[in-house]
Amino acid sequence: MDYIFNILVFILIYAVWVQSLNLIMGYVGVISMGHAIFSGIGAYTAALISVHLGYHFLVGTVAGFLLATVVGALLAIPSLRVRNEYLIVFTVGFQMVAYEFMITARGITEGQGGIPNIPSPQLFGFAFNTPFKFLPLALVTTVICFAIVWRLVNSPFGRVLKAIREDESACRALGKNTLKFKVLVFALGGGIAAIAGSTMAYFITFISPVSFSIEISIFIIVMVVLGGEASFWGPLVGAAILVGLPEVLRFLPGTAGFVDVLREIFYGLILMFMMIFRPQGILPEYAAKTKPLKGFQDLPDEADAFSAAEERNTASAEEKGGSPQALEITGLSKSFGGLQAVKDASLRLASGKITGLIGPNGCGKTTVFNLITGFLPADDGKVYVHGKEITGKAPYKLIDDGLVRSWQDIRIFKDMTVLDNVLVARPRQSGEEILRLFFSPWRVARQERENVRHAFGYLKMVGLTDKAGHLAGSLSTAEQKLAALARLMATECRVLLLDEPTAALDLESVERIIKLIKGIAKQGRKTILLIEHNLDVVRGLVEEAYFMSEGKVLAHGEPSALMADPKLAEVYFGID
Amino acid sequence: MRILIIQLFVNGLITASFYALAGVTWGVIYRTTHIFHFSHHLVFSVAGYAAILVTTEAHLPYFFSFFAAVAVAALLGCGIDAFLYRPLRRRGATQATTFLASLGLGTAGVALLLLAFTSSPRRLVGFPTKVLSIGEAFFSPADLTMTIISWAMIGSLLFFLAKSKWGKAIRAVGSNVEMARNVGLNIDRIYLLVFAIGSGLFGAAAFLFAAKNVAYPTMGIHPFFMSFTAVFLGGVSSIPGHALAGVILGFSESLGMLVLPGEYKTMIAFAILFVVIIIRPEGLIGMKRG
Amino acid sequence: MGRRALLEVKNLEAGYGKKQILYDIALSVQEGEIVGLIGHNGAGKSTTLKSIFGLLPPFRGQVVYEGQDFTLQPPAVRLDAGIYHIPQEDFIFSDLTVKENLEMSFFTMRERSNFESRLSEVYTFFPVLTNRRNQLAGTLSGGERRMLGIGMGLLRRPKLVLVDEPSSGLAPVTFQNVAKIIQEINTGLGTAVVLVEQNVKVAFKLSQRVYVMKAGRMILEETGAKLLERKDWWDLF
Repeated sequence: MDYIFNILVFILIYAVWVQSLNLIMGYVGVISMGHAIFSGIGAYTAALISVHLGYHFLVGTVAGFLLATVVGALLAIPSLRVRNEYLIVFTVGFQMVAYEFMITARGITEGQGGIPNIPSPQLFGFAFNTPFKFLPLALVTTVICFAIVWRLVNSPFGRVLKAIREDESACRALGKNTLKFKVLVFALGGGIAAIAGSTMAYFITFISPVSFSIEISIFIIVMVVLGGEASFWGPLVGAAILVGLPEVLRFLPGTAGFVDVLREIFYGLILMFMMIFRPQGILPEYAAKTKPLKGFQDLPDEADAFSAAEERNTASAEEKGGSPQALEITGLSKSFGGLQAVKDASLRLASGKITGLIGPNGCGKTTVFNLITGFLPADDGKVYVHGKEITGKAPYKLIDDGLVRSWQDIRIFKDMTVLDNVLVARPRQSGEEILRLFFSPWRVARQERENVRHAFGYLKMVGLTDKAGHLAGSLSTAEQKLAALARLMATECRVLLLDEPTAALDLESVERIIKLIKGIAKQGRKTILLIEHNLDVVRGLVEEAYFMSEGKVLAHGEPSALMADPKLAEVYFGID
Repeated sequence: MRILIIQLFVNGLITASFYALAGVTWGVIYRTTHIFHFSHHLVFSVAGYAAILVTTEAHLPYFFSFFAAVAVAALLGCGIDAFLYRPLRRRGATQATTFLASLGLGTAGVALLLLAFTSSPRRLVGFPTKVLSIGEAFFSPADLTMTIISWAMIGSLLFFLAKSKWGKAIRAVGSNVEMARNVGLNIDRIYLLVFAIGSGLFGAAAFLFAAKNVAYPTMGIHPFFMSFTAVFLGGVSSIPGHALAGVILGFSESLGMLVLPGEYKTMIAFAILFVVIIIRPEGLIGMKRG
Repeated sequence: MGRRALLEVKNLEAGYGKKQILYDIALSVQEGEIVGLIGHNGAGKSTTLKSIFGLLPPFRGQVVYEGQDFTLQPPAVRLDAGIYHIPQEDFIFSDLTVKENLEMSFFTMRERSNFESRLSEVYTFFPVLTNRRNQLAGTLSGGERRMLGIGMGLLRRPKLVLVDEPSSGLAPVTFQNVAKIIQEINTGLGTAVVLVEQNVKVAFKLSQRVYVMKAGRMILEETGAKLLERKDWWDLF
């Protein structure tokens, strides 16, 4: 019987270990090849603290958790700033170096022989020193760790993670510091792995480097892949299968000597097989087309949600003062190798007005947007929002200055509901901060309820309330553009940069969007800079337009005047 | 002391040549296909065993080992692309998915080698072992061969890529695969070619390694680690950069022996990579990707 | 008129993954003709060219070239048969020299003996490329790149060239040059052209016939001359 409890404890420990990697691979979308080391950090910290310093197992566990989190953050920050593939390179290096360290730094880790005689955990005199007695402890640990992951993933924080996975740039444009989120999750994943490691140390009462080798890192990856990345129960299923199954092998005659080797072959085959035939894992998917919405019956009045939020917004803006120029750029330039994409561009937008940015394809309009919003570093020039300089500021910081952009290719988050798309854009959510998420749950919940009310307000403005629970990917192009507009408004920014909002739409949808944009500018007192290709739309919507050609601003003025200018017509339609 | 430094320099040169070769073999594959080919170490190990078996089982002179290693490696590399990576490409697999499948293949493959040959090391029979010297620095014929052949191969590869018709096609695919399709280049065939070249050259490196050391199933892991470290250190976009980075890694490892015990060699390489990437993410001489 | 249709596209429907872009597209090109294709951003012009060239397998419909069904043929076969595609963006190998770019375009030609004479022909058409032949293509200016892109096509002497927005990013004067060259290639070598353009005046002037696309459908086919006579073209977008 002890044998069975032994297996169960191991399954639980591995489930936690795998869940922690699942957090990184499934929810951040990067691969870590060094996850065994984080458990090793937890195990060795716990062992050293309890054996040499004689402290209680809870102290050892917490210390291991904290150390692993710090190490994880230090590793993740430089790697994730670059490209996701660098994380593979760095974690492989980390795994190999740390493993070498465990073996060679005999002074600290006692080398290959490991650390024996780790004291069994004790609580109020009760010693968890047999598999049967340890099982409840393992169970509690697993429940706590799974609960932490559950809370993280099903929260505003988790919502941002999902958006990052879909389209990181679009997420940054909505004001989220995506690097911070990825690093935090990586660090937390390392920390939870450490908990698994220290639990294992206290269970077996002995640890050695071999439990944290690269083969183990690969083993954890195999279990994540089997259970399914980003599937919440996948880790438990994967652990149960791959920890439980080899035990069955023991009862097969003749395989004794080859068990280890066979296991490796088996793991390799699982990886290859799963990647080719079922990359999403073995658990059945249920991609619900709509997600049920609970208790949102009292939809606020349209004017209600919108003006309440906006009044707050404009009131505080008027307090701050700021210049009447909502947006000003001077001398903006950018070249790529031999190509001068933007040359000495200057423009000024007055508050509360809609201004157009027009010109032939390839003249640099979208590049100007990218330069203003920090997606491209400018070679020269300055950008000011309400008098404050924002040149070169990272895109996610601009939300605080009240500036937000939309995309020519919409970039709605297709695998998220329409409501979630709007919700993720809400600024200053305490639920996106890890500490507040766990330690101020009531505040987070209250704020979420408010945000949902506001989100519905915006959805009502664009007429999409009945699609709130639908996955955004199932909407038509016109509806997606409307949802993107609602998402944009949800940021409460005062300066909106719209990139071809009516492209590829039928006449009716174009009319609808024109009306909406007019309403946004007037009611919300927003300033709008609009890239548009359709000059009819421009004539109907903007009071002033800037005309660009080959990266330079050639002229600005009233649209009809611009379009009557023969020189500009020449540029747009071609020379005679 | 002076003698020690000369010896370290000679050792450094030998190691540098090996790592430079290792670097370009993985680099040419990654640069052209952007596949994170994580079974490269398997090619090395299999080639190493092929080289040894030619002398111990077929009882042929070690000269044939060289060709066996290169041929087996090239075939295996092509096989991996044709039977694993290409089906994944057809299914629209992401780079991460392909990486994981590659990881699986490498894991299973090494385990198979372990099953077939056990972990006891095998020696190449017949390679001359007389100790040679230049001044007060000592090295073996295997070392000398390794250095000369490594640079010959690196030089040939760079020349091939720069001047030959297929070399330019390979560079074209690495530069802009969509445009390569537009001019009718057969992308699958070029990928096979690149895997053949990269794997074959790594097989040659395995022969040189086996001549100098022994063969064991995991023999490819450290060379492979150094090869992709060299690629990212030098910068993905420049294949000569991979060779340069390999040289830097080789000399650093040798000089590092002055200060640290030999067990820390991986640490030195990793530390260099880490520091360089923090300061200059595109590597030492790589270009920022557009 | 007795001239056989070089290219005929019938009932073409295509898209990316599950997303359909083209609905029931039909167009034809006679030998030696320049046909314009205009429309707003996102109307499906580039997608049409890619489908004709075989980069995008269609959901439905037919692409018939020189009387034969090419619908399922890969791009390499179409190149061989004399079709050449110049994409709107990213149409050169930045890491290769100008000369190497041209060599790449010639790579899959069956008849290889006339490479040198064709090459000097291209250099004559585009003197700026001669001066820069050993420079990396990535260092070329926008106009020079466009010249290179067209030069790469010219090298193969195709019967039909599909060119996607050659004016994009160019100064009006530079584009005048490019437009002239396209005209010369057409009149001098008899190459048929499908010209996607947003610089509509030039498209109308160069093309014998023009197709207008909107939201994935063909909404109009008209001669270039008639379209030039119109006052206002904005309802076409």
